[in-house]
Amino acid sequence: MNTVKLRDRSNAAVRFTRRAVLRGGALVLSAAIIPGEGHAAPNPAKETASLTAWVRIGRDGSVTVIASQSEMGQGISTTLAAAIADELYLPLEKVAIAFAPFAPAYRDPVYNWMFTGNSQGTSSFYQLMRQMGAAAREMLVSAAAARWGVSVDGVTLGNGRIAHPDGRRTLSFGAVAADAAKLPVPTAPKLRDDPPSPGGALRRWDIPAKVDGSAEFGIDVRLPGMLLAAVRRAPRLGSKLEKHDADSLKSRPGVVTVLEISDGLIVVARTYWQAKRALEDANLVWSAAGSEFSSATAFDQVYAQRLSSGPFFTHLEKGSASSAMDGATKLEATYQLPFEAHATMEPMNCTAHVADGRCEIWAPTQGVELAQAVAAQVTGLPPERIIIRRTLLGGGFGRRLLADFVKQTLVAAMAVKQPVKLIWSREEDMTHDFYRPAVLHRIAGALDSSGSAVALSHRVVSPSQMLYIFPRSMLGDIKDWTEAVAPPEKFDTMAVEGIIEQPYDIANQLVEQHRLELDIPTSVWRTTGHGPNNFVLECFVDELAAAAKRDPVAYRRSMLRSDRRALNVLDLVAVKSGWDRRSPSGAARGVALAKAFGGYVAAVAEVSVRNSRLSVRRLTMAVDCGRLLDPGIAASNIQGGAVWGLSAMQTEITFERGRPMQLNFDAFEPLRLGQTPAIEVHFVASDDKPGGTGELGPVPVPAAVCNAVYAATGQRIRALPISRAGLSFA
Amino acid sequence: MSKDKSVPAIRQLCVGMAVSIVIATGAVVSVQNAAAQNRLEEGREEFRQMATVLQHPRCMNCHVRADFPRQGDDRRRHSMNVTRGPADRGAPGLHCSTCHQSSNQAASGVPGAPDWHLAPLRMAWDGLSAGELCRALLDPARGGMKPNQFIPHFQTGLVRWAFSPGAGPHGEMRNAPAVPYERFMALTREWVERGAPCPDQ
Amino acid sequence: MIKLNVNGRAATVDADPDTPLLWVLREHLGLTGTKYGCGIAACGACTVHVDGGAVRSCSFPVGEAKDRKITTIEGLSHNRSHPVQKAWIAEQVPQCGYCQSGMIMAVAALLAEKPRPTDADIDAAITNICRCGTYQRIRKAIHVAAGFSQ
Repeated sequence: MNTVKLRDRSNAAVRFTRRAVLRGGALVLSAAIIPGEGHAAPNPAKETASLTAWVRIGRDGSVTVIASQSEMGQGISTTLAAAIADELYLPLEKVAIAFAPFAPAYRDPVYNWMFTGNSQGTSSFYQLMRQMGAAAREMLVSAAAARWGVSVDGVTLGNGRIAHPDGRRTLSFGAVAADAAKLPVPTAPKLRDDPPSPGGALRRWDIPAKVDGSAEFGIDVRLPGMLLAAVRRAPRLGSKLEKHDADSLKSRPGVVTVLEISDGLIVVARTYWQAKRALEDANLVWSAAGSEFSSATAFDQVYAQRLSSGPFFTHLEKGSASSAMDGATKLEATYQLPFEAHATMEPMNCTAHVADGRCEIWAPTQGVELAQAVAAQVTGLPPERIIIRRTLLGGGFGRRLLADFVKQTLVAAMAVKQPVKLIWSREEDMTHDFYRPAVLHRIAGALDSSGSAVALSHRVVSPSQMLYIFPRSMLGDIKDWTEAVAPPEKFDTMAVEGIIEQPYDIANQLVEQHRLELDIPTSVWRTTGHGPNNFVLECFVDELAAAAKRDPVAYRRSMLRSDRRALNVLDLVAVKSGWDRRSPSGAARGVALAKAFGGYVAAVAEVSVRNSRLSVRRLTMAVDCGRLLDPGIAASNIQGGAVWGLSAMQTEITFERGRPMQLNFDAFEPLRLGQTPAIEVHFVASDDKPGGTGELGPVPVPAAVCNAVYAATGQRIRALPISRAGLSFA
Repeated sequence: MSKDKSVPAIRQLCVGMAVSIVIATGAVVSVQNAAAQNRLEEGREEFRQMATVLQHPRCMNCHVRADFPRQGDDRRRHSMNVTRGPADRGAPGLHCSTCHQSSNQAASGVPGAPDWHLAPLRMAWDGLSAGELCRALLDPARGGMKPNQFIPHFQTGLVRWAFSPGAGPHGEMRNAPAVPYERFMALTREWVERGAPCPDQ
Repeated sequence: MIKLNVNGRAATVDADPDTPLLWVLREHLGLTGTKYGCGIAACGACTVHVDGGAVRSCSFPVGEAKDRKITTIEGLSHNRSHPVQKAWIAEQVPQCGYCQSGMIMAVAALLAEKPRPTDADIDAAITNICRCGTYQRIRKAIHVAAGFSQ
């Protein structure tokens, strides 16, 4: 693992916020002036004209909206396409949606990097999409006005046509699109001041194809002459392939070729089943050396030792926590969370064709720019000879930001010079994930005589989550962009997010991290640092409330004098959950609050515990995600997120001498329907900037449930999964 | 249940003993009693060996006193909260046959045999000693069989499966009972011939 | 060569009888609506109907499909008109959608057997995994579909 200094970008206004957000300058404007021709799969049957990089209009009047953001279930492609369609006075059903290949225009303006993640699709793109839709509208209006020889005043749009001020004559979009495309892009287009039914729940464009089997995920790509590949890498991380019998493998039915990669083998065959079966019977021999990491001893030895010895990087120092602790009533606790696998329902896969100096890739990816760059590195082709065609993603959760599976596929495609689709088995997917890191926290708080917290001191031992995702272009010259590179510690803040910007008024705060280096690959996982950190913080706040003998909601309220939005969600969840009423017999409630991903969420869990079976009966969630763009999509993200949060209380990945021990859904078992409580979602009416909902939902759920367990039984859960506390979900 | 026309072994034995007692001298009676006792004791011993099979997790997991099957040597609740259902073949919509086919599946590691299902609740064996299990097996009220019905039952694919339970999803072999199938069948035949006697305990 | 009846049509495939039906559907017949999720019958993404009953096709050898009627998501209806499909659209159930073919097939099998399922019936029958966590809308949509079917 290398640590490198950030490359100096003298010509760009780069600044870092507390969350290591990198803001490139002047991107909004560039997005408007880069033409979109060739950026999405062209349809030669229809001549099209591009009005900015985001809108294509066919001669027949058909409108295609280009999506920068990958669709992995979060509904972003509906919300952003609708923003453009609204500005064109078109209902969403009247536009087609195409996923953009890599082009600078499609970069997230905050990071200057093309990707989908960190729940920032709406906050980064929503306003930009309105502007791009408005720009296209003004270009159409100008072209039509010129055709008629009238002023643009009084020219209007409706039903996909442009209307003359006389109210009689109309032109189709298609009739003037070519003229419009030649016009300069307005730099300050005027947005509609009558956006249609703001906050209306839209019917997602992708759902019909998802109920009849026609939706195309990466694993479904079919090309003429396509071969299928299966891969097996070392079951123990760090081991290498020592021996295999290529000759006997090649004699297996359907097998075309066998390729050795650094720590494994790829078998290419006529069908996937043939490739997979051949690989299973291959008797691969692995080197004796490999990772020695074992979960059973890691917390007691590696993590605990670093928790005392450090060294630590100070992420936040406010007042003096240590002097405030002196003589005060002090509370201290240690919390731990396990490694987690993403386990997207669609296992990693990719399809590629590298021939005749061209590289085509079909991939379910969140990380288009990284995949593009890695493809250039692997093939040696110039970027303009590489095109990435995105499919729908069968789940992402951060795993598909990476390009390891793209690189593997390219190796196979270059060897066979035919289109190849490479599919990971579920076992391969769980063995070679980039895991949510296990963490150990020590948190201490000091209470004044009234019981209010006056100091919080928080020490975190965590591997980095940014080794593989930190924008490579910022990190200097790295030959292989799939390799781990640690960013400077002050920008590596995911391990402490949610702690360094927590909403409570606590005068003295100290947040430190020991960045642990492990030979286990770690990366971002839905909720990034917010999920684990909120579990620690909000369980501990509950401990403080108990020590102060205060009601958990009232206690939190008393420390939220300066954060109106936090108070709003807390108050709303208290009302909607009936916090002040007695729990039903046998049940108890717990609360947790989170500030994350540009929004706020509070949860109240109602649980009962019997015979070590934990039953979550009801979850009430209150959300402020800024201006609500689509209550239907937002609610489904929050509900699904709550399920993710509950799943994370029962799943874990453990290692024995470098071997992940959970290989499939029999041992890594996400929540199922029968375990899912009723989840109510309530939104705070808000005019704040729209935030993300994809990762907000899960954040407060584990703490709310564990605080409810404490209320029900007096048992504090300070380590997940709940099996460590002898509990399982009913 | 098929009716067997031949006189059941246990009744033949009883009739034979009774006749012997009536017509023989005292000495003969005691010798014959001792021989019969021996036969019964041997039969009980045979059943104790049979019981090591019947009480094996491969059998017990579906001869279970619960609304759900169990799985594994630790007899944990079947994954996915699978339930018994109204006809011992799973819940409506999720029958055993959703996953379990007529043979073990090497591809998935899912075990299978023809008509995979749970034993009815009245044939649950949890917590029974060998003697109690034996009496339950012979008790019509608890789904018990007549002695001559054991061999055909033990020849069904589902019972035979327990002796070759195959490998799990990650290639790990499932444990089979220590007594091999042929030996188990021989024991059963002998036990039936000896009158299907039950151990006390 | 194995003769199959899939979605009402006869098909002949050249595959080893041990090949899981899942891969025959996807690779030989191009019916990619049926998904691979785990390969060990633990997630249900590959659920199809065999003679009307739900079957996890990753664990169903194509050899056992002979002379039996197979229905996949593509054959459930021609125009998304099956009550479960209609309910799935009405309630906007799918998120990423990868598990939903299997989910819909599992639900269709449940409703065929139990037209008005209770919540407990749903808990017992629908054990497929949805990593996006759409379970709440699934439960609601099952009740809605049951209403459509009446």
